[in-house]
Amino acid sequence: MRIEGKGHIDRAQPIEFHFGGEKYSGFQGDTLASALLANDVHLVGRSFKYHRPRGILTAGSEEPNALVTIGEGAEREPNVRATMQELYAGLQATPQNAWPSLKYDLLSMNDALAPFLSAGFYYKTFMWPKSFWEKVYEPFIRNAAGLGALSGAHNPDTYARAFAHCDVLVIGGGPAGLRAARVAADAGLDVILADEGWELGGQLLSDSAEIEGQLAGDWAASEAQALSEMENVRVMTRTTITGAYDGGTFGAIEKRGTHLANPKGALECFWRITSKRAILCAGALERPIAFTDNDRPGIMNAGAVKTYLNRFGVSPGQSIAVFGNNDNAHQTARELIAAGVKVAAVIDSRTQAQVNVDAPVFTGSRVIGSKGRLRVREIAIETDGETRSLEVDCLAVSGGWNPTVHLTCHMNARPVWEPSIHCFVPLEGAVPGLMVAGAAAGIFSTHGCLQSGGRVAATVARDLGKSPEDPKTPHSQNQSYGIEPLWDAGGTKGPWGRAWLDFQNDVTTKDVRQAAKENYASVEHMKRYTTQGMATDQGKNSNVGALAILADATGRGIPETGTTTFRPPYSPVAIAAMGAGAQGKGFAPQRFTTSHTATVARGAPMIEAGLWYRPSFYPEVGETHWRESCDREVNLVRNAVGVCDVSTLGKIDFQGPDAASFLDFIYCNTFSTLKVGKVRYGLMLREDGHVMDDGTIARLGEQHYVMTTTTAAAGQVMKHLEFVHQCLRPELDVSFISVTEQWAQFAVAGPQSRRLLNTLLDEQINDADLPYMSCGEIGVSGVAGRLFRISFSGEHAYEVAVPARFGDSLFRLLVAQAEALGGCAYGMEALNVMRIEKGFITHAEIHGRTTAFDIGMDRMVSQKKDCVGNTMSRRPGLLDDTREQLVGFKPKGHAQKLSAGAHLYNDGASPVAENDQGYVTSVAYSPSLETDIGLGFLKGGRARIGETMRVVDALRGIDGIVEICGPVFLDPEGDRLRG
Amino acid sequence: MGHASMLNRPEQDAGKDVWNAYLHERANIAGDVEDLWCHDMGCAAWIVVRRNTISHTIYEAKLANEVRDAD
Ligand SMILES: [Zn+2]
Repeated sequence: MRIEGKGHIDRAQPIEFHFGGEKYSGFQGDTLASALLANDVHLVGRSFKYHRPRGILTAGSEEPNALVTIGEGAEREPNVRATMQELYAGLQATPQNAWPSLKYDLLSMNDALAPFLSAGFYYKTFMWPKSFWEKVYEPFIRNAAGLGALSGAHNPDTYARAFAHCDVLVIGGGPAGLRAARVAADAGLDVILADEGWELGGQLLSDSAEIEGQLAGDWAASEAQALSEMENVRVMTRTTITGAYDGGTFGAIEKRGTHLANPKGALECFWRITSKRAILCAGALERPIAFTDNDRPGIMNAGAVKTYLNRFGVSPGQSIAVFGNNDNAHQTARELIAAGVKVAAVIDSRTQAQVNVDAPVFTGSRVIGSKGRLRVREIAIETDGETRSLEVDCLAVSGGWNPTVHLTCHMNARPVWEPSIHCFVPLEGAVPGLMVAGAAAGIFSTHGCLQSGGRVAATVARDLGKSPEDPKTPHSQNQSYGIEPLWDAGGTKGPWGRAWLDFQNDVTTKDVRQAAKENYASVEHMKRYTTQGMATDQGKNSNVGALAILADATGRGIPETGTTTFRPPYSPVAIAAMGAGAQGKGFAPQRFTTSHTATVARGAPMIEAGLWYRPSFYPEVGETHWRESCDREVNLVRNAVGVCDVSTLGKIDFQGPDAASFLDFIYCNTFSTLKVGKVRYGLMLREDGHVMDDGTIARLGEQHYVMTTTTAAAGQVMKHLEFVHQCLRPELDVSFISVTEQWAQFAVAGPQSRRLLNTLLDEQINDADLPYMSCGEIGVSGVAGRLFRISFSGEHAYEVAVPARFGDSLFRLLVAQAEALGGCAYGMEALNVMRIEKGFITHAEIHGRTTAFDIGMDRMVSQKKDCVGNTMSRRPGLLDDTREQLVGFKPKGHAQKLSAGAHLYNDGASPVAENDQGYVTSVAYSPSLETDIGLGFLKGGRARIGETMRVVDALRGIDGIVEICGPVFLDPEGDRLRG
Repeated sequence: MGHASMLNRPEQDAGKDVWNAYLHERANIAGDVEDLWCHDMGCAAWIVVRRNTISHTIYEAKLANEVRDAD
């Protein structure tokens, strides 16, 4: 029901919207909740477990009941709190958790089963039998339980991430926050003021009190205006501070488009705000009182009723009773009466309460029950030892206020119990650099909040080296509070007498008492056993009440019972916002080689190698299967010439007088003895003696080396080199830097490789001047480049490098010349086949558990010098003849497939773990040998060449026989390399 | 990377116990520790960070190569 003359809504701008398929009308400035209440709609959802009808309880982000789905299709957003959703034209809201409809929910039969669905039900019932769990219970629970559902389609909305810095972050724009921001800003500090609402003022917007002779809401508006005009203040509305982290960092979610019919740009923005100091002015949350059937629609928090009245001009009922245990509740009754709404009764649990309200008053009395199917129709009051019933259509309840301490718990501190106001208040110093003011600190009067906000800000300003004037607190009233505890007002006894604590997770006082009875007496155990506080609202309305019931049931005080903690986020944050920009291609940076454009133009399918994209193969017209292309490429390299971009290998340039000593310490073999103009294979160990990486090292000058690493390990190796230099050998005079992206490098492999290169090089090369494993600087069509005679294919081959800006044109030239000589460009598949044919290892083999001994390279570990991993590689267990050693495999008998990941067993042994003899790491079809071949590890393998083994891949259903052979399948003498 | 004791690499022939301790044995301290951190995505500096594992307070950070040079 709308009340004329009240509220901050714009009555000149009516707005139509839909809820549950019905059309309603509200005003600009309404929330979905206030507009529904204005239309007399209280029933907004069904509860999680029992599917009880539920109504709007609060007017803020702590709302447990009024969760709705906004929008339709892929853009729909579930679990939106109707109390926070601003109304816009055409808004479509759907109630959740009700089937087939809100008014006739079939699953509310759960409610009839309630005596069997009590605390611990899930644990007790669903343990047995297993087949029942899978076929009956789980599908039932999955159907019945849960709140809103995602659409299952890709989310088309955009989100953003951003960073901000300030001297002081003021969290919350109520009376304390407005004052704190103003005093800090006047002192000259850079201030960010963040508030979850769209309008600053907080509780002032819900008040008809006066500040400095103005209506509280008007004073708030003029302060907000003044702040927004200051250059050193950034006001962030619709922004919830969600978490407090180390070093003065806070997470925040800003709603940018969720209040608009046609949002442009990012819907939400996730902020990281770093501040020197923070002032928490988050206010307080009202708590309900437990009594039988206190969850009926129409039963609301008293402060929320006042907010709907003053801020939105809505009375949630025509005959309202107010029930409380503190003076603050009376204000709601007085303001309702002043607005012309009938107050049926004020029920105050305190016997000595002074109730200055023009309505029937019951002191020392309690509400103990309610009636009404989908909306409260009647309440039961226990007064003077008798029970009376009273007809109402709304009940406003206040069990007192809990300071919003959540952020002060995010770094592991627990709040402390304050007996004078019966609530937890923040622990001082709980978050370094954060101070608390106003209601969040347990100060519940407007005057107190204004004063505390100003004083705390002045302290902070002095801490930061400013000299603020003593803040003059604006004049306002100092309301009384006078709370006496009332947690459980009681009601019906027996299985049907249920009084709700946690509305969102359907937890009753009985559940908590039962947990205590079953010895789940620790608050952490109670929480998990009953699921109290484990819903999306993290128990904002119920934690303290549940704790008080537990304390009572276990005969302890509240401080002794303790409290659970709060963790980020304060209110739900969409993962899409935290991960904004990191979807799809934004997930990781992409690295492209200089040949990328030419390669893609040739139709090569690209595969990811770390962050790099490399071609799998280069398909020719008429080829329908990757194997066709791959086999052709291998054959052309082996018989003519092939070109492959190898720029993705890590390239690290070393210079300095101690470059040689440094490399001797990095690699297990020796590089100080390498002659200028020569290249050597190098093996790098971890300090624990296992292989880290391998590569080639070319000596370009006395004090100048270039190292290559594998593509996969380039980053890890660079970090390792920095560690060794900075932490272990800082005395060595050497500099190194990654030049991976500075040089484009291409393998030119095959019997025609020299002929091809000689068409492009400024000086002709021959075998005598550039034998196998040598290198030098050379002009490539007029460009200063480098040439290495090395081979990963087993063929006579080179790698030619030019500055990256010439990479694209050199690649095109090389491929054109290769094709003229009957060759081709080749991709990763062919490269892999050829390296397996030659028994060259990659990270499939050096996977972190293999040693130099295992791969047959133990002789490379020089004992004439120290190096990383040298000592530990000598451990007897790492040199044991029974270790799994690198070998090759060929299938025996008729055509069988090999697979990487298959395990080896002695012929005739059953394929079980105890009989495991080793495993296959790499496989390929060798077009040169016309058979599958593989590499892998076999226990004592080097002594078992020629044996046959059983090979089993249970995953792919392969079971066959292989012959063990040496790891080099092709040209073991290396004639092709040197020829 | 772990404790700053990684800076004190033993001699090659220090024996297996010393090497085992260097590589594997770490006190799991609740309180003040000296860590070895790496500015991985930045300047690549390795730094010795003196900090508290309970409060996350950072007392001091020094470049690792300067700590080594001072030894
Ligand atoms: Zn740095």
